[in-house]
Amino acid sequence: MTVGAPATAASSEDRLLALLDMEKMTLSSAARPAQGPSERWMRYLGFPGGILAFLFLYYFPFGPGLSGAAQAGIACFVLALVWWVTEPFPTYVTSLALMFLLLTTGAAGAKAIMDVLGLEVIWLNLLAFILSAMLVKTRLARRMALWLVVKFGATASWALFAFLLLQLALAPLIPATAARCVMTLPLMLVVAAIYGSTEETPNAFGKNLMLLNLAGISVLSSISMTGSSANLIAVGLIQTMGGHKLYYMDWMRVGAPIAILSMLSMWFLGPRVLFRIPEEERTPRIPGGMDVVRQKYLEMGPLAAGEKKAIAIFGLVLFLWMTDVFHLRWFGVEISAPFAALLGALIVLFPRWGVLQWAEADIPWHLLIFSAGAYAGGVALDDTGAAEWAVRSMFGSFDLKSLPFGVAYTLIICVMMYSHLLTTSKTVRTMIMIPIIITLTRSLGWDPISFALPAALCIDWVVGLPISGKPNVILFSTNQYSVTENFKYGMMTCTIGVVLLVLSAATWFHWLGITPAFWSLPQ
Amino acid sequence: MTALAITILLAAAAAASGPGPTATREAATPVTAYELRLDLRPDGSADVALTLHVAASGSQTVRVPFPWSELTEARLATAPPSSTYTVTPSGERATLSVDLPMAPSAPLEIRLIGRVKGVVSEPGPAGRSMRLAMMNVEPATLPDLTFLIAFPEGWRAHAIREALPKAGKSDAAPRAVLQFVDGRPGVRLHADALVQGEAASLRIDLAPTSRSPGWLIAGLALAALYLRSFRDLTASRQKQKDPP
Repeated sequence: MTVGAPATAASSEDRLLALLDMEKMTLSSAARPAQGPSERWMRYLGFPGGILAFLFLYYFPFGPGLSGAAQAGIACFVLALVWWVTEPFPTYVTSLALMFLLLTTGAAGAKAIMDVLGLEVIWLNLLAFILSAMLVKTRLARRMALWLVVKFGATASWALFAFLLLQLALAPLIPATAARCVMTLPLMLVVAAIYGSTEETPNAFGKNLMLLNLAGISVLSSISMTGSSANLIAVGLIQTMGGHKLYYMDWMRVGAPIAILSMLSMWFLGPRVLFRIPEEERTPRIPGGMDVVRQKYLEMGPLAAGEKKAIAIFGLVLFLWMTDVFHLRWFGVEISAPFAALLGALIVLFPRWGVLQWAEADIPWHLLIFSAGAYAGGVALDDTGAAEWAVRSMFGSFDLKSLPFGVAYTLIICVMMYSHLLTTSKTVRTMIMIPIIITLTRSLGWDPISFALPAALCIDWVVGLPISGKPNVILFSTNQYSVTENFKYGMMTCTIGVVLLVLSAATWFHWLGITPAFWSLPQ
Repeated sequence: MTALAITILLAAAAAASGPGPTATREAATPVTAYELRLDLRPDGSADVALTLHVAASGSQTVRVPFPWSELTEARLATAPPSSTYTVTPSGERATLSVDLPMAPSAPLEIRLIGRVKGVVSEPGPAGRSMRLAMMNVEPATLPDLTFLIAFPEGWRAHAIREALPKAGKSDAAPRAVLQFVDGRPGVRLHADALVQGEAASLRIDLAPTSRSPGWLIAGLALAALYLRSFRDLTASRQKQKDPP
């Protein structure tokens, strides 16, 4: 998704002001222009580079452990990965190419590929965009964004911190990361515009804002075991296979400090190390500065009828998202996140009582196609056993028996943390990795909990690539940062997480009785 | 009076039907391990070797599920002298019975070898496929079940389409694992137990070991064509004629 400024705006200052008029937002599928000569060359060479990677992986004799379909699936996925990163053409075109290749190389069947458009996550994205459009068209998003900037946005650093707090507050309330992303996306776009970052002229503030939210949405899900369904699967596996019952607070007392500390680190380091915000970009860039923002906020006056409707509809959806554990008792059926959003969309689009026409919803189909391609690749890697083969090959190459706990722990945490680059599903990654880690640690003579719980804390850290998670796909569509920049930010976040997890294992995880002494040897 | 009449009638009916299947199956010698080894041949047939490990018991009969009702060139390669076997088909299923000359007083190994036809389909445009399936209809659970299959020369697994019984959520390893079997690409399926009524099966699509050069030619041609047609991408934005 990109935000195009109205065509009538002449100067860049006018365009910034026009962007505040969010009702004129359009969702365009235009490719992000190359930022410099190196990116132009990367695009030019990315296409043949992807093909060469495909050919190498397709023909390389990996041995009998890898089926032909799995090998083809890996080759296709890596080709798409190269194209997504180097962007020789828009990401959704790569997704279409990937889906065609998966079929023709025999990596996946036609039905499996086509069915991805019916996945829950695609529906949730689509419906959440309708809700997002409602916030924009009723100008509620504009009001919220202006309020946020008036209250916290005097400087770039505090504006970023406000979003961090927002994501921290939403994380325990709404487990669906895509929902959290879409409901805060309009605010991000307006605040980015106030600080001078648009699709045409993305700046360091915009990159930091989008990527801090991207990381915050995912990483803060690891605060509690109910933060995502994959966390709950891991808890179940640790109980059934590892023989340890985990309670809510058992998870939270180790997960929350790691996640919050990591995000605070990224809030501090991002604008200072990765994408340094120049002095002139640290205050609102719209003409007139904060006074104009304050004036615009006051000009909005009291809540309009449409805004009140939007609050009511969004409140209902939010209520259903937050109370999903009680649905079975209340209604006899669980209204999952997409169905709660579906109910919201139904009311939004209802004639006379609703607030939107279908045409105003502005659904970004190119984004859904991009997601569908990524998920089709992920499904192929999972169904053919390619993902499992890759993980087993990775663990098989380590001789963990002779290593002290701390070294084996660091290796396993690294594999768990960075393996999200190879999959597109947290659930699949959990189902593959956690049982292997439990079996492996038990065979080494360690208590499974000492590896499995810290590894489970890494499940939600899917921040390395635009295809790694649902919020990543959505935020990448803003065209405010490149795949490489996403990768840099994601790797830094993950590395901070690994460092914190390793330091914790050596100190307070040990004091809590979760891990053995850091340098102890297997028995 | 009526109740007595019904009881007498039921007893008579039971006596007339002879010993029920449950009665005879319970008497079978317990099997401690079941390993079925297949060497697939290019003509679609397979050399079969079934190895059974049986425990000491008071029964002379070993009865296990078997995937095929017809086995040619079959013989008991390892078994006490004078042992005989029969394969009894029942619909799509079959049961292998081995009658021992006397009840085993110590654990022993029985090995049946033979050949079956049509295990692998004829080569077609989509490659070949093989299926191996059986169901445990015996009352006793079949423990330590293994299928070990070596693919025909020049063929490898393209995809494992079915591997039953399904692996549980807490199983660390997949049910079927691709591996070398005597230096040839093959597959191993293992289940700790196959309870009564449960099926064990493997359905695998096979593809030639050497891949066709079609993708190589098409890929290189496409890459070359792109490099030639999109040279302007490296030029600065002002000079580009057709931005991507």
